[in-house]
Amino acid sequence: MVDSQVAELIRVLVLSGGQGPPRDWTRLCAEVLGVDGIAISVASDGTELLWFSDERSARLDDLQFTLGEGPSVEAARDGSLNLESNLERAFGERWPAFVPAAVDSGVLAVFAFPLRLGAICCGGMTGHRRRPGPLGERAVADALTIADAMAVYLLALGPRDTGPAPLAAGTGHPGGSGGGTGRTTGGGFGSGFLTGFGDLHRAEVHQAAGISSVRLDVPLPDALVRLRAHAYASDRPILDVARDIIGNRLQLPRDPAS
Amino acid sequence: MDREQRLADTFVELADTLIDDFDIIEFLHQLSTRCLELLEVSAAAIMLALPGADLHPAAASDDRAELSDLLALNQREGPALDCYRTGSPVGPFDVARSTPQWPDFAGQARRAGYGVVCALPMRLRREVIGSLLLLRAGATPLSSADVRLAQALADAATIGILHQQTLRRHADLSAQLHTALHSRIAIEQAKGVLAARWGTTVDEAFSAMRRHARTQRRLLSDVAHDIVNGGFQPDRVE
Repeated sequence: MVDSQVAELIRVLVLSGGQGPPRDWTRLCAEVLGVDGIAISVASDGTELLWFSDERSARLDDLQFTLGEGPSVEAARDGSLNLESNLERAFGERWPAFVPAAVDSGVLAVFAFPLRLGAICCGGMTGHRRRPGPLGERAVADALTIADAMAVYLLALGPRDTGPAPLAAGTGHPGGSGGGTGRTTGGGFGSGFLTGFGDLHRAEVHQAAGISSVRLDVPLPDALVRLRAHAYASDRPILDVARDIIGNRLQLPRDPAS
Repeated sequence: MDREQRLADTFVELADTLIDDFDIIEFLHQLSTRCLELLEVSAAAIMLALPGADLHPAAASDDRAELSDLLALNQREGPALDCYRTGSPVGPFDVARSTPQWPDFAGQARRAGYGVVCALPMRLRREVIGSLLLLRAGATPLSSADVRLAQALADAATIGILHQQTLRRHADLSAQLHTALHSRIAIEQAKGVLAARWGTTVDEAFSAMRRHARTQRRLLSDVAHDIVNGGFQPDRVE
């Protein structure tokens, strides 16, 4: 039987329409599942973080994006269920870079659920805890139920209105997140385009990749790899590196070997 | 191969629809052929009504003109249509004796040489997607064991088809989500590319992109793709 709290979460999710679930929703979701935070990301070439309950969840996802490995990445990409109840005991070959970095950041348990619909996997939902310990049977069952609803919800967010941008529309204001970073509101695309995603959490990373690809004269995917490598090598959050590039405070080296 | 083995193979075959190059006509043709191998019938045909379409002949065990005419007629009247509409089996019955409700069908079936007819629904719970029509030359009735087996084959095929359709629908949705996400990413990348080329801020680059999209009535994501992939530059906003 589905718990009434879980049923309520799903009801709110469905009712949030194309806007994405509110931040409160992710917090409540974490509470119901008995974890310290929750993050929902979709699979692209890497993964894109869409919604999260707290900064630590976002950083945990950014870390995996930077490293290109980790339980959430595998859940979103391969559809695997990864319940790591004690990261301190998970050192080894599977995620050699992720595990120590996650432990360093104070995360000791990670529970990554794939967002699946039949044979299709479209993303992942990750809960974390600052203390080790397994997720209870009930919480796992609830998480799977919520992940199912989330998969259906996400797949309904694909583009529907693909007509040309109307002349009168497109009033979204860039900025608003401080620092003139060019983040935009979801409604700023003028054509009803994908308002459901809201802001991409790593929007600035992609802007910085665009800047670096021109400055270094390399293709975009290479620019993104160099950005990730720089963040990893300098042990800094990838968003900080991206903001420095956008703000002209940092230029990636021309030759990554030099 | 003995009959039991053939039966088992047939059911496996009918369940094996979650493949990339699934061809529904080929699949239904196989079903009609297996009916002929496993049942005491002279011909088998599948009439299909996928969502948004009327009932139409989809596959038959042979392509004789008499059979295809009979199937075409069944789109208007006959056991296959009634079976599809009611979702219940129709027959088996003797064409010569008990078909007053379909005078045209009875006449044409007799002329084609069929004495016994049976239509079974292609149905999963409340969803009916068509019917399986079994025809037999002569007047010997179909055994109830054969009718039961035919219904089981129709059920298995229906489940296979519905699973396959669900998978394809999900795959389409997933591809749309992927495209949507890529468009969003491309917009962010294009802001950066333009800003670096022009030596401006990403906000200024974005303003120029938006203005171009609006005045040219193009999607912002298309403009972004052109900037990122094709070296396109919109006019600068002063």
